Amino acid sequence: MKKYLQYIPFLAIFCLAVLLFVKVNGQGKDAGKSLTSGVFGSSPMVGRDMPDEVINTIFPAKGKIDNLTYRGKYTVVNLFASWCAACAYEHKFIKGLKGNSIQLIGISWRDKAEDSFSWLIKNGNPYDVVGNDSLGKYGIYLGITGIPETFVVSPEGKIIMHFAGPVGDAEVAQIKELVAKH
Amino acid sequence: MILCSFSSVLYAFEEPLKNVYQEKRSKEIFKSLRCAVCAGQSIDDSDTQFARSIRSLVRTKVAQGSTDEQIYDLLKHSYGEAIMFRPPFNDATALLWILPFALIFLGFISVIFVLRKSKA
Amino acid sequence: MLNVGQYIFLTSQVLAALQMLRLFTREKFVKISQENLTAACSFMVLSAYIFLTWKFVVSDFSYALIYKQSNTLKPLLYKITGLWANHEGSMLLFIFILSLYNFAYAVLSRFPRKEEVLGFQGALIFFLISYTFFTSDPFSPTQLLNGQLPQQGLGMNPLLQDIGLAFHPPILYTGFAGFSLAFSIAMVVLRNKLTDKSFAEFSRPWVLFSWSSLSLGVALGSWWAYRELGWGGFWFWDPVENVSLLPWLFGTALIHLNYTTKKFNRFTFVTLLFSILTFLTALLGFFLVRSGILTSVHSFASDPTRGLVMLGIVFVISSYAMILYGKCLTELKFIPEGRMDFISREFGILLQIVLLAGMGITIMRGIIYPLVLDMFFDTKISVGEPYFNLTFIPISFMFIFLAVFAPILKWQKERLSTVVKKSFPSFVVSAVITIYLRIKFPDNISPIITISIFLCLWLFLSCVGLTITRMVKREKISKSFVSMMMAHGAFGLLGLAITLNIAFAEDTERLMKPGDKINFGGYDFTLRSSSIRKDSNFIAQTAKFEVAKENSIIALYPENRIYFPSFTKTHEADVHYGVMEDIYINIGESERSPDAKHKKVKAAMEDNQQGGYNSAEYAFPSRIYIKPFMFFIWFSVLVMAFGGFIAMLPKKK
Repeated sequence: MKKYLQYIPFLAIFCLAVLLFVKVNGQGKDAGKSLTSGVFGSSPMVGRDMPDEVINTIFPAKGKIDNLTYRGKYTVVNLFASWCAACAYEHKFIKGLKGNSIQLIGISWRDKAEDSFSWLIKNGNPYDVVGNDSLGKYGIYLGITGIPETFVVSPEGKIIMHFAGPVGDAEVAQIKELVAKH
Repeated sequence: MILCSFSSVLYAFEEPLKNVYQEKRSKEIFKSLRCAVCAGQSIDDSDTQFARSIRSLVRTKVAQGSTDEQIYDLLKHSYGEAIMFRPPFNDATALLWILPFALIFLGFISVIFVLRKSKA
Repeated sequence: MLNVGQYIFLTSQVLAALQMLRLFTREKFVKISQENLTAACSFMVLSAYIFLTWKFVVSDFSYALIYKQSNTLKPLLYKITGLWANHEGSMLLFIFILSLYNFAYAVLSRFPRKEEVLGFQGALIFFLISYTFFTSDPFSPTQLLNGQLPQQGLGMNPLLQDIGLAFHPPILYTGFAGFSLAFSIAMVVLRNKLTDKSFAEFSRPWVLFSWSSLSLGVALGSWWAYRELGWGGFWFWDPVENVSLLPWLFGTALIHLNYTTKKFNRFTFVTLLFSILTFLTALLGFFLVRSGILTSVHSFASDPTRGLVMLGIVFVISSYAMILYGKCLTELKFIPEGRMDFISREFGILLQIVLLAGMGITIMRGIIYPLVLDMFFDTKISVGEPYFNLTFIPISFMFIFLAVFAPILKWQKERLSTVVKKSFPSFVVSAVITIYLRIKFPDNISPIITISIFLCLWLFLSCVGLTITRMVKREKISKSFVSMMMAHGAFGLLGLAITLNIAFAEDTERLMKPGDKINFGGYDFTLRSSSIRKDSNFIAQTAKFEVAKENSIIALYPENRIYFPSFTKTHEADVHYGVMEDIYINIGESERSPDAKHKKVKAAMEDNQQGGYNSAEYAFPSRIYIKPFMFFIWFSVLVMAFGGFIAMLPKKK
């Protein structure tokens, strides 16, 4: 048996240990991650166009949301529902986005239209338009994994930002800054 | 109060497709998709809102006549490769697929080789 | 200042250190024999364990662990078993079980070098106690809130509040911990460059006991998941499950290798390697669960620092073992006795080792590959059931095929004609049955299922056939023959049961309101009503289903629960366990029945009566599963483990 062969078992252990070490260390850094990357890594939808799908609106009545809705101005799309506690928490921050030449669109996700509607009446409605996604499909096209999630769309209809989770002061500031620059 | 917590205000429980063949096909697709918010479950196993939405979408597309490939492409567009439960076979993952069999094959060959040698 | 629990624990640590010192000097450091030191250390650990259990039972919240993990409302069973439902407590449980092994070894072993083996065991337990004491102290005191102790604890994760918790971790750990003895014996052999084969005989009973325990432990985990997780699956290729499979695979290899070494000093290098690897993979599994790098239902909430320290310890132990092994690879020589033909049991075992190693490496790769891709190439892929199904199954087929011949092949040399003669009858019967099934159930039995049924059935029938033949011919039926037939036959039965379960399982999902009836899988399912009930630490909304077939009716009560004080929600399936099939119902959160009027409903927490709860208003998304042959799955693992236990018994003199 050649002399160097004796080190092979140890080397295998060593490589594995280094790999695990780096990964465990990385975990610690992961803890402070922002809302921009989801469970599957950062969303591939960032940089892509809004989906082609058309959905009906809850408010204003009898309207539609389609591709054209997103053209011409910056839009913030926020997915919520009346049964979602985290959405209730973030609602005041969403209200803070109103105005600032931003089109604010809410999408009621997997909720009964009337329940979302009553919820908005009770808690205040900051949205210019509210879409009805009761079966959840529009959200899937957007690549969400739950709610609340928020997207920022450019006037060309491209997704330029994505937050998976409730937005707070920091995210609102980020959005306003981005819109103000253009 | 507590009862209201039990009762969900969620809408639209998805019924299985009426066409048995289509429903079976949908189920196969569910099993090939990974649930993003669960620990290693497939879309078929999970009862989260996320999984239900995907099931709803897949059923609709199957009923409309989309192929499996089209449905997977659609979901990969929104979620990336990671939504597929089976790792793809491409340059990055080739080793992952080949190594199990290659190593066993090598193992057998070397066993026979070593034994032949010791007999000589 | 240390509290009582910490003092006890610290004492055990000191004793373990003394035990370990024997490795470095022949002098008795204190005038106590190694066996007595081991006994003292084990006694201290036992005391620490009993002490903590007592504190759990009385809900003494001055201990942080009890405050965070328990509360007075918890049923007694879970106060006791909840000790190990968390990181710190499970470390203590593992150490406790290891100390029991050390004690048993000190008392029972006749190995000439047992003092040195105990030295290594002492080192292992010393590392583990030190790790636990310094990073994960189960006895650490609670921080006072405003100078006061909390009056109530935070409670345990309700998903863990199940009978499975009482059995799965202890038995699983009994499996993991026991392999340390094979490891230590291997260390002693390598360190002293012993080239005789006798160590294998001393290692064997401990390996068998650990392997059987591990088989039971893994099966218990599956059974628990089957009942608790709500969708009737029993194996999920969850990273932690996979990692527990590694010591089982390597342990299986080790059992067989112990024989080849014990009899002929053959493949002894491989035996030593697997003695080491089986335990190292058990340790690795232990580490991975707590490190936070695996996404799993099993993961303990743990901070990265603990993970790093444990990684360090595992690295040190592994490196020492591997460097020692590597050196011996080049310096030692084991001379096998006798010859080995290609057609022989030894050769079959060697092929089996290749397959087992292949399976083990596949699992390891399935865990490591995504980590590597993510870290170096920033690509996220999911390695789950489909990957393992595609890679594992073909390899298992080869494995089962080999197992058919295991009892047929004789040691050293067997004639090909004899092999064919002995395996032919079961081959034919199996083929006939398989073809019949394929023709009768074409929808359920795909080509892969066909192959699987054929191989597993062949193995099972072969073992049964050989046993019957021997009984009929009035030949000697030794203990080792019985255990071999039981273990191999049960393994075939296990494979068969799993295959048929996968082939014939069915499920459906409907929204049902009270009075709705559906027919599925040959049964009529009716949702009769639902109700609210209050239990020790939760409130449940229970649905009553009647399942009818011909003249018999059974009732199943799946429910949705809300636990206090955490307000966690769970779904509890209800299962009817049959011999041929299980019926399994799970309900989702109830929906207001489409034709119910909205009424204000009084909360049922204060009054236990049904007043206010109108069952007609609630509809449930119901998922019904028919799961065939589950009983045979659990039963075959039981028989297989039993076979291992029987093999352990000493030969009648």
